[in-house]
Amino acid sequence: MFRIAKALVCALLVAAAAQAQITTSHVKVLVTGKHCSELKDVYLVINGRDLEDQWVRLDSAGTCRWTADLGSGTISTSNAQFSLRGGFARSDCQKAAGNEEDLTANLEFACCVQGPLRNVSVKIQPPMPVSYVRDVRPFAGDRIRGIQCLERATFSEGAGSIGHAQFSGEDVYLHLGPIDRKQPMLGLLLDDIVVDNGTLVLTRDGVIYRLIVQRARGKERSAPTLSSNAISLDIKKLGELKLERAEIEVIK
Amino acid sequence: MIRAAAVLFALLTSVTASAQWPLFDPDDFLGPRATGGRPVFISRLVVGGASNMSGDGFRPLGERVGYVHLANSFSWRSVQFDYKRSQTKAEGGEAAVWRITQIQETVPLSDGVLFRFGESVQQTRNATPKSKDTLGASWYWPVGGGGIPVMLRSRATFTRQAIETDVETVLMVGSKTAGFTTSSGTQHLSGRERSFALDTDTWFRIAGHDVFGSLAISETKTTGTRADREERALTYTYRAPSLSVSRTKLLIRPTLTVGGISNRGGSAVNLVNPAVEIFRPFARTGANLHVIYSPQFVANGERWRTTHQVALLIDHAVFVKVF
Repeated sequence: MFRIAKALVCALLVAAAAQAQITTSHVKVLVTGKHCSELKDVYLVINGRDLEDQWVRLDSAGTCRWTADLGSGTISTSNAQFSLRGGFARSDCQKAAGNEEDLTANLEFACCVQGPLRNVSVKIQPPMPVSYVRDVRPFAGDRIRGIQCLERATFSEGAGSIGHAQFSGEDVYLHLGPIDRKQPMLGLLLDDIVVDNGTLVLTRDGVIYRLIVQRARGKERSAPTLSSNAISLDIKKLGELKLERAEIEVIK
Repeated sequence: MIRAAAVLFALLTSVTASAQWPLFDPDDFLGPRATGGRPVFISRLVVGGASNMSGDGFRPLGERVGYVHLANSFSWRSVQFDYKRSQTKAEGGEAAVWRITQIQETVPLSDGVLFRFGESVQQTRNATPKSKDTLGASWYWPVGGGGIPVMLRSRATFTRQAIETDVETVLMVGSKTAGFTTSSGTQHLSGRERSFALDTDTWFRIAGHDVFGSLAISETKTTGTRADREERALTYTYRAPSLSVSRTKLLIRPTLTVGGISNRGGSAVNLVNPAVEIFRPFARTGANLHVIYSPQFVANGERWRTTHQVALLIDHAVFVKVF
């Protein structure tokens, strides 16, 4: 009897949760925190599409409230992930709650940052496609706990800027060369190598050495390794790309 | 849960444990994130020398050896296959040497004679494997969701090596009064050692820090020698993050292996093996220099024996092909 009741309750909960998931093009954003009213231009990064051209600009809807109309693009609250960008703010990633009455996806972010923000400029010689992936961790202390997520973008001509990088809350990997969508590839972990004053210029050998170091220190999401095969493969791949140098600069 | 743990424990203790990875076998981790899932073949040559190096089964060879090691790895998507062949050259040859002294002594008595027989057996040299062939199959698998998953590797390894043994027999016949006549002969035994090992990377987090290691089980069987044996080992290796010295481009990697080997007596943990590897890559030439100090503390009965292994090696890829 108890088991049947338990199963019924579970089924009802699952059904209720399923009902709360909606597909919509309307997003409402609430930002909490005492500095939220100072935010001016605010953007949403949706489903990890981090290239600035793909950010969605939000319209003000009152103090600390914004809305976005995605037009023909829709999102499902069951799987869409969002993060916030503002002048001095970036958030962790959140999922939206569906509002069935007005068919909107509702988001709440805590304002504003938990560590220094940096815009990192990347320039590769000779120009070649480069991609980056940001492994964003949930920020501590949010009222609504965020989710861990990946945000990525590709600079097809080998140069671009990674905006609002907050290295205390995310790992940013820069991959040189074309990337296979099916098999994500990591690359240089920028967190450990960016310098605030000046431009870091790495030659091909320098890139190879930095990759060796991050593998040896276990910073590649695998056991620390001095894998000679991985080194040989790096030498081979960067040689084929004819990489001359990578310039990495914090621009503000 | 308890049943699952019991099954796992039974599996671990019954299958057998890892053959010790030779010091001169460099890391070959090449996960799908490095290859992009493309087929990659790498052939690597390793040359070097070592003093006090231990052979398989954590048994000291007790001398200086030189070695040549050829490792071939084929990686594709989440799997990797390896064939490795190594040749070790020791100072005094490769065969184990046993000396058997048999005495047939005639002792005259007042009412006849007494024949006394005696035998002493002594191993005067450990065997150095002449050549060793290793086949390996690895599987890379991700754990953890949300962000970038952790990539771990599990692998099975089969190793076969020839072990040569020279048995020198000395036969002494006679008596103390009339003297002994001595004859000797040498018998050559061609034996082999086979090892099967399973090992897997492990990962867990303590206080927000990643803790990586390797758990290994192996079984080693020796046949056709004067000292045939069968033993199993279960080991855990803690793989600490390396330290880097940017100015000199040196990397220092510490590891710590603890484990138990069957048929050695002593407590359950009868192997403690810290190691420090100093690594210097030369990206321009593609060569890597390794200097390894690996003191091995192994209990044999109630006594612990320490072997201070030191190895120097250089590895270089002779062929790299990305398909």
